[in-house]
Amino acid sequence: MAKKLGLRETYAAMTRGVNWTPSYVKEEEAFPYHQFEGIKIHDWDKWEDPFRMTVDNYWKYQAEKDRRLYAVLDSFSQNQGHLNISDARYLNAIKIFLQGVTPLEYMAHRHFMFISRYIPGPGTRMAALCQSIDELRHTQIEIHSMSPYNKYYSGFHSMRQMHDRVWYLSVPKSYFDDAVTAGPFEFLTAISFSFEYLLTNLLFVPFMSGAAYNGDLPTTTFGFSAQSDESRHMTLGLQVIKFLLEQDEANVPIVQRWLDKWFWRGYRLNALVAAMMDYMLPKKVMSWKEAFELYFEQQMLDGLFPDLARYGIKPPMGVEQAIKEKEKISHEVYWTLYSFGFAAAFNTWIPTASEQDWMTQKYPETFDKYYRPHFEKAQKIADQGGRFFMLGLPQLCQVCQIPMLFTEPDDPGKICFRSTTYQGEKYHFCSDGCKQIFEWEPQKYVQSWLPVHEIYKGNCGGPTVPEVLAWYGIQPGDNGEYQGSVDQQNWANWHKDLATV
Amino acid sequence: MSATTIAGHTAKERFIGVDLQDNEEARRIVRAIVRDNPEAKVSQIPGLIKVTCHHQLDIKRATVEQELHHEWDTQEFNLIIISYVGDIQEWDDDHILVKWNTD
Amino acid sequence: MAVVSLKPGYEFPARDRAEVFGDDMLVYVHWAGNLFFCAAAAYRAPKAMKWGDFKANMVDTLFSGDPDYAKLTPENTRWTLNDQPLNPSADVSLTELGITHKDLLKFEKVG
Repeated sequence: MAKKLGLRETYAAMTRGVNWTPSYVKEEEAFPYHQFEGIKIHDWDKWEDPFRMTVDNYWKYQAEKDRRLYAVLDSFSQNQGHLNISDARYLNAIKIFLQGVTPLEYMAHRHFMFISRYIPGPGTRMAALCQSIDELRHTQIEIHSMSPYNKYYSGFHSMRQMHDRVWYLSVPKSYFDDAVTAGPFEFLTAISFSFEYLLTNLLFVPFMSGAAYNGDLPTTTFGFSAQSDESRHMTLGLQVIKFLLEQDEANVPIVQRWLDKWFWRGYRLNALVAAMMDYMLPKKVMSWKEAFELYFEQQMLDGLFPDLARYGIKPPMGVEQAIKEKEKISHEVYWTLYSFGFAAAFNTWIPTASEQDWMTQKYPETFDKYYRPHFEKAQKIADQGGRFFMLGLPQLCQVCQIPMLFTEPDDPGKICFRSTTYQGEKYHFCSDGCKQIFEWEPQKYVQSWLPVHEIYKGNCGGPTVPEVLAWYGIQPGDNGEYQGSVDQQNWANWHKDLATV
Repeated sequence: MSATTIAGHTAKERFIGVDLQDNEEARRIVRAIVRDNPEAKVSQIPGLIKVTCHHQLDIKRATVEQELHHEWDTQEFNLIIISYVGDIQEWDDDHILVKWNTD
Repeated sequence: MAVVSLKPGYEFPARDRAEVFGDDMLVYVHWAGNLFFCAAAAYRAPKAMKWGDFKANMVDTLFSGDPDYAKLTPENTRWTLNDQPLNPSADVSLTELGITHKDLLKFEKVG
């Protein structure tokens, strides 16, 4: 019997070994999309995939991951696992995840399939093919993992419709639409490197640990199952960057520009995660600020960027501002979600006294001075039987599409307004970063589908709030205050007999 | 290589490492990692084990097999890894090596 | 700067340009110094609308959600239009006040 091939030989045989040069069409007809961005590639064979993933191994390990996951899901449903989470409030973070992130997994599946067809290098194509199938798996396992909750809780029922229509979901949707409408190398820099390598840990690692801490077995399990693929995606991201930078010096400024743009785009998207982490997990693992310091500042700025400096790559635009904002953004974003909670497909609430004390402890410079007073005022209104909502529509940033809620980097008491005029039209931005991104490609962002403006143009079901909510797919109980909500009442009922059991 | 200077950021010690699922298989693999990388630091948050080192982290099949008491394909590491920091320099039949390219 | 595109001619009309809103326009209003309102509010208002109507029917309705709004009077409120001083009177139209599509109004309690 012939000796079994080692990993290295298997990988070579099953990627480059099965590649061929087209003979009856020209190379540029088969691969028409990889040159217009100005990226120069001289030798595709310099591509290295450290994971050395091949098709046979891929199916073997992915099947095993799925077997482990579905065993957990079955057992969770059989054992009424939903009753054992820390509190029903927690699930609001998971609703945002399903509405905001899961549809992006599907978009990633589609576009990595495109990459795996249209990039000429066989190593890159194989890595993109695996990632494409991973992303489809993630879409499926996330829907399957959250569907047990859909039987008992509001807000889980129409994620696909909501993703395309609801105001706060235009933030993740437009982010990904921006990436897939770019060329293939910009897409890889945006998603594989700037998101998967630089920022994805902030979403998946502490947040999934939070799921574990709050008794959410399905989310922890799909999260870690997806993350095992994610490590491979991180490798693809780092490999893309190193490969582009090593292939030609002329690629360096192009990559730096993409990095500047996509760090800021991805970081702004993560502002939603910051609010979910600090406010929606009743049992807390770490604050957004601590997560940012560990997973971004220490691991990326101190860890990765010295490696990239030898190519002439600098830390991305806006990094100083992001560091200043770690004291603020989770609070600013949550307060916005609370204020517009009548139009969201999840519930919001005033944090409990002990939760507010935790915020004071984690954010000693800002919480008591800037944010606690909001909750005290809202509590006063609640004590008189009211519920504070900002009963209107907010001004949005033309680029990130987040309400213009962010404050000046050095003044948490002052909203940061930036604007410019392009071809006679005025545009508003939440930050220098978003303004710069607009100015690099104004023709792209003049097309932004801004939910607030679309409502005012009559494109969202009608002029009244109930009409817009119906068009969004939001049903009564999905939205508004948590105290007294359908979820809160059900939760109280399910647990009221505990004392007598 | 000196740390990049960024306003408002205090540079800390550079490290590489892996984040692993907190399960029986991973706990044994962590034991193997610690045997081969004596400077490795192991910490935990719910659901997850973080193993970090200052310079390099070498996961060796032979040591893992001793801890697991059965054969182990290095690609099975795919089943427990959640995330990592650093650059995977080598992943072959005998070991997985994580380090930065500049030190 | 231009978008690097696959083919030349990557040009599109602005989606929210003034003409799309006809006789109306978009106007943003922000209460400076009070971040209980997390962001400026966006309105669609007729260009010919009198300031008094705009204030009473649009601005007051929304911002009175904060009990402190009752403490504001014409005397202690300072308005700006795109950060330039503005002294609005009730019977003047938005256009006559110089307000155009997507302008930013701010008000602030002084003293």
